[in-house]
Amino acid sequence: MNKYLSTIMLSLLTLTTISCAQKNMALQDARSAFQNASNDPTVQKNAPVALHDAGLALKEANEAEAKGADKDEVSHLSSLAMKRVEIAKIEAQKKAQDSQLQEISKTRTDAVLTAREQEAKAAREKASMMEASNKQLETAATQSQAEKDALALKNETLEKELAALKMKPTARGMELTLKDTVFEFGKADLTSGARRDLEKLSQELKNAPDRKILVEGHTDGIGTDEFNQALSERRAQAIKDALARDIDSSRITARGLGKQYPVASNNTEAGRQQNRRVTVTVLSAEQGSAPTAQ
Amino acid sequence: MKKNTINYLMVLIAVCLSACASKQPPISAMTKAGVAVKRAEDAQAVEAAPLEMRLAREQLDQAQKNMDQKKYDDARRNAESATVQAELAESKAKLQDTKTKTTDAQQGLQTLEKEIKHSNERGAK
Repeated sequence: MNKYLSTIMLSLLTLTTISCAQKNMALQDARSAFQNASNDPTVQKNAPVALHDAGLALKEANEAEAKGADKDEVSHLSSLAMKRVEIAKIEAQKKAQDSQLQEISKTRTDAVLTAREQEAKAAREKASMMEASNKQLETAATQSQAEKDALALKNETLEKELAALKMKPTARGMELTLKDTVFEFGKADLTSGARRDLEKLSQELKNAPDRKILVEGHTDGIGTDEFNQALSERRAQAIKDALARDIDSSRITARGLGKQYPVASNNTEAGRQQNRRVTVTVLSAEQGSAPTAQ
Repeated sequence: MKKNTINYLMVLIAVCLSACASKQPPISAMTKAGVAVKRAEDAQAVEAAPLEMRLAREQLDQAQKNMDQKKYDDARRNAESATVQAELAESKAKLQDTKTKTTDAQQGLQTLEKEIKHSNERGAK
């Protein structure tokens, strides 16, 4: 009986010893996991402390096994080491993520700075552009003022010269009245004296190409309307033709007004003579394009 | 022969005692585990690493039960397991947090770059 008991005890002890000496799978797993992590440069670089802790945990497990601690304890310590290796790996990942986050934040700062610089540059460019365009406007204003001044001077000169030709200023412009004596008797041809006067006038008009000329023929009150209308038109046309030798005929408007606008009484010969006339009006600059009957 | 048997028994008891049970309650390990679990909870690990957190708490509860039953060795192992589980959960939570921040930052950067591009185009006009 006693011998039987002692045999059981012995075999139990042997079993315990064998199981302790057996290679612990959990410990082996922990060792290889730690080995992998140690060989990973990212873990080495980014999580040295956690890796060190994992190493210490593994050392504890190894020592426990070497001292012949029981299997459960070695497995427990191995699993702790295993978890520490995992923590080291995750911390390494986190550190890498931190670097990425920092990089993004730096890129963001750079982008904001660049944007501000560009904004400032754009604002400066806009300001200088506006300045330039203001200058242009000013220059244009100065130029147009100069042009106006020059034009005014030119108009003034022209008025003076036209006045020298015995022209009279009227509301429509400078007006020259040609009496019927400028025409050869019974014809629409001009006398040589009248032709010279008209030549001078057309020379002056050449210098003012923007001015329009209105030629209007008038008659006395004797005769039918149709006859007087036709006569006044023919005479006006004759003057226009004379002027058109020197200046563009498109500037000249000729029309007959018949006996509608007498300037004196048709009851006396002197009055009738005054009414038989052709007026040449150099229209003022403002009226140049819209000749109207007076 | 009887004396021999007693000797064997003594040896067996000694081995059992040294291998399976410690007499001192593992106060330090219990404290460490409690702190680690608290820290992990503070790091929002419940959402980020729910499994690890669950395991850590279970181990801590088990440790407490074993303490009450004076199974000090088991209590120490439970506490140590709870500690590493909690630390793992905390690491995972922090990693998750950084990942979220990175994604947000990336999106923010993209939005910003779009805005800058847009305002440059507007400026060019």
